[in-house]
Amino acid sequence: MTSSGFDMEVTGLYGTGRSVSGRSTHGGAAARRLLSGLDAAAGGIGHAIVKGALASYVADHLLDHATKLPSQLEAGGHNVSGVAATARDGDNAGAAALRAPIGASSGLGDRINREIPAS
Amino acid sequence: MVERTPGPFDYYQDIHGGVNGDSIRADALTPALDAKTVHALAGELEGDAKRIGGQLSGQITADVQKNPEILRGRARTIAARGYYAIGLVNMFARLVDDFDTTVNGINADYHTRYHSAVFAAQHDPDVHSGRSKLDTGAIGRSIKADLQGRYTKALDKLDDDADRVATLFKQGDTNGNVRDLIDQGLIPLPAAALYDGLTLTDADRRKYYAAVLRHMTPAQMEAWVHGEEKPEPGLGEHTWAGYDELLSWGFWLPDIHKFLPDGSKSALANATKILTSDEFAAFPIGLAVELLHRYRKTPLVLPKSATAEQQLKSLASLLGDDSDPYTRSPSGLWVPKGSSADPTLGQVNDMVDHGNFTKPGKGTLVGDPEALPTELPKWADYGGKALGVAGSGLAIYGAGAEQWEYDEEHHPDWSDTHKKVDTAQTAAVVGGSTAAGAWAGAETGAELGATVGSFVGPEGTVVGGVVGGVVGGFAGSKVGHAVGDGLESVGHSVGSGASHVWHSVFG
Repeated sequence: MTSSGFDMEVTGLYGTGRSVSGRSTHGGAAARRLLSGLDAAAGGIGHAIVKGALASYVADHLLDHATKLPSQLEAGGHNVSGVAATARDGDNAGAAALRAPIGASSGLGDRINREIPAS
Repeated sequence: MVERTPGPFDYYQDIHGGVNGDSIRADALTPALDAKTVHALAGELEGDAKRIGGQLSGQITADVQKNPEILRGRARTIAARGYYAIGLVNMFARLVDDFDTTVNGINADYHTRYHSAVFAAQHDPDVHSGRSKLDTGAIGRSIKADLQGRYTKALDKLDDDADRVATLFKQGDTNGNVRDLIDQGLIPLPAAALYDGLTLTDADRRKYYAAVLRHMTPAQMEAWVHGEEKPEPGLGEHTWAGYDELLSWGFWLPDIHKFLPDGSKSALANATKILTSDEFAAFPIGLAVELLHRYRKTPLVLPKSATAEQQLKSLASLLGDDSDPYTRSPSGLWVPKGSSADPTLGQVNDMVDHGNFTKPGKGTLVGDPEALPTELPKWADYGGKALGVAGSGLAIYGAGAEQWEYDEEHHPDWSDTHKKVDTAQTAAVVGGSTAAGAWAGAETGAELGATVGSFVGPEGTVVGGVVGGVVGGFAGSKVGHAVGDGLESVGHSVGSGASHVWHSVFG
């Protein structure tokens, strides 16, 4: 499909978006398991100092990232496929123009090209 | 595998409810797999971003690509921090192993000292006669109290180690910390790419491989060399292609399958293939060379201490006084000096029997292979097959005695030290050659014997004599089980040949 601002291979892009969302199943789940696995490892390490240090490290450096990753994978994939879906609906110009952060939900247009907060 | 001799001093598992190095490593296996999965996810998301670039063009493209790119960054962060945490967990597991190994040594010392003290107490006349009671409890408490300092020191070190690991957790995955963990084989090499700004050197990679190999069990090494998947110890199924890289650096790793026969070849061809393989050279011949370097067997009575040397010199001066060829025996008879009736010779024999002197004809191995042939710095008792292999010097003894006599006759100006060195060196070489002749005359025939002599190069004559015995001993050993199977399958040519040589040399 060709429009005034960009060219798009709609079906391919839609599929890529779906793939990204689908990665939540194994990749996102692995991140969650990593958290729980390290939590279990902390419980089985014995020495209180190391146990506490590992637990703190997981809480401070991994917990937030690993907890959010599954939902962010889904959202990011939806964003990509949403661009294709919107373009397929003939809303190409709107798709090119609209930007909204994840969390905003004010209609179809807002799903297009939303960005995941960088931090 | 950490040995844990039962004893009065607690191991880590006794202090921490059954936890030990192995259980800590086991707990880290599943998270390691998950970190690997997340690492792979980052790669997949990178592919997604590239695909979007092919499916979209124009100003919107970069913005759409940011979706998988940001997610890729997240996945990389999670994987990197996960690997770091797992690396530190495995580091602590090794430190726990170190602690247990130290405690094992203390407990082993306790038992040695306890049994020695109880034995001594049992022979105390008062205890022996029943006048005093043997108090083994008091003996045990006394020894434990004496060893308590070492144990406390081990506990302190464990606490220091725990503090160090905790500090590394607090510092986080800095490039310096990550590099250290990679060098210790605690973070897989491919994960290095996850840490921005970290560039590994060849030295880092060598350290990494050396560390990983050092901690491999024989089974892991075999799986690593031969398996389709190359497991990395402590990191689950994480694979790496380091084997080829090691080879490219000139590393050599044994392939024990080289010992196995090829059914399409003759027995002799198989035997030649096995005997000329690098693996054969590395194991049996390497062992033989090592043993021969350490082997000391002299036809001479050599003092093992300065005191003994003085005693010997004193007696020898009496024997060596040629002013009077006769000496008086205890019965009053005059007898020739140096004869069996010479009382001084009897004193020498008594001294040799009871003092710190080497026994002629008794082979032994020294700790330092670089020691001079006449030096006997540290006598070590080697039992079983190792001593049996060293025993190939039966032929060496004879050759050495002849050389000593020859030197005495033809080089009267040489000092004893000079003669000792010459004798020992000659004994090693000539004795080895003699034994090599036995190999050539074995059932395998002269052709095989010639092969043995030709492929081992300059040291062939030395080594050849030991080869037969080593093969026999090696084939029966646990380590050489596969080798033994291989040799037996070749036919009886090599196996019985080795046996023949073994028995002809060692009896």
